[in-house]
Amino acid sequence: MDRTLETRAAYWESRIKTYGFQRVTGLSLFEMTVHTERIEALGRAFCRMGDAGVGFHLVCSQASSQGLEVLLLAPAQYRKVIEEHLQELVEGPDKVFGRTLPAEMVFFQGPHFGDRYGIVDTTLRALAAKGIQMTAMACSGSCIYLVVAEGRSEEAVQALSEVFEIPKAVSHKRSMPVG
Amino acid sequence: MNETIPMEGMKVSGDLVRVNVVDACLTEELLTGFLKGLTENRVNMSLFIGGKGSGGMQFTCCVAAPDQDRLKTLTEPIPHLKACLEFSAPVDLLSVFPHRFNLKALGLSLMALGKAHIPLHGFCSSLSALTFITDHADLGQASSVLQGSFNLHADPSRTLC
Repeated sequence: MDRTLETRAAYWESRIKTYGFQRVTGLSLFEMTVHTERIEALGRAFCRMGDAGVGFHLVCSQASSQGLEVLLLAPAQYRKVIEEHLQELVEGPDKVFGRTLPAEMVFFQGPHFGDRYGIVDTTLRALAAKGIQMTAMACSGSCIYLVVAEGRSEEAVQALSEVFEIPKAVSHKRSMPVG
Repeated sequence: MNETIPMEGMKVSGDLVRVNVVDACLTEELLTGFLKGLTENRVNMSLFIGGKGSGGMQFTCCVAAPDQDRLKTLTEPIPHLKACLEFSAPVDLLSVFPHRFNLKALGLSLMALGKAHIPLHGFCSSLSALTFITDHADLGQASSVLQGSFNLHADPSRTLC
């Protein structure tokens, strides 16, 4: 007989609570595909950007058959300096494919978001119900980042507000240098 | 570039598998179907990175290894979904924090992992941490090279967002 005591519990709410939504506009989304052998070179480029004072809101990457698909979301004012540093990678032996898009971000957190199910599902269903397409989404720890096309973040917040509990007013800011 | 920057600490989340969409072939409907299946089966994702590629939706997520069979079962009746998904060998999530929104922290991490030829399956920032997806087989080496890149505090903070 298994005498191990075990407690199983799940945090569940009929309407998922959040600590509120933050909307950030005035951003640029840099998309690039980097061959896995060029990760060190990409790291060097990011170091140089860091030294140049470039901040970011979100950076994420996933593997594909072409290498790593990397997304960098940063204040639009850094566009030129970021593109200059990425240009050095483009001109290297294993070319990096990339493009830059104007973007906006919605960010939110909530209780136990890091270890409960259903948050991403609820988020994407809320957006789909209003016909809002996400450009990208990243969730790690207890943070949910939603990247949408320029001009769509307000609608996205309205759509999310219909399914999530919001304790206070939405915060909105023009992107400022982060860090 | 031998310079290091201070970090409060490092965290490992292990016993995970990575689920990956093969070459952006997933429609939005299939993605929402997959996520609905996870919710109905109470499967939590430790990490989710998704985006719209030229050919469709693309995502990578990490779930607890014991949930892998349930996931395979729920995708079984949907051949289009099953055909798009790839389950990886065991992976770990290795997080360093806080990044203070400094790209140099990411740059140093990528340089260290790249130089050591450690396969990287993705990475993601949160409010405070940079999280890297590495093969479980490489965990020791990956954490060692990352520790070598940062001045880690002896008594790291446990707060991660």
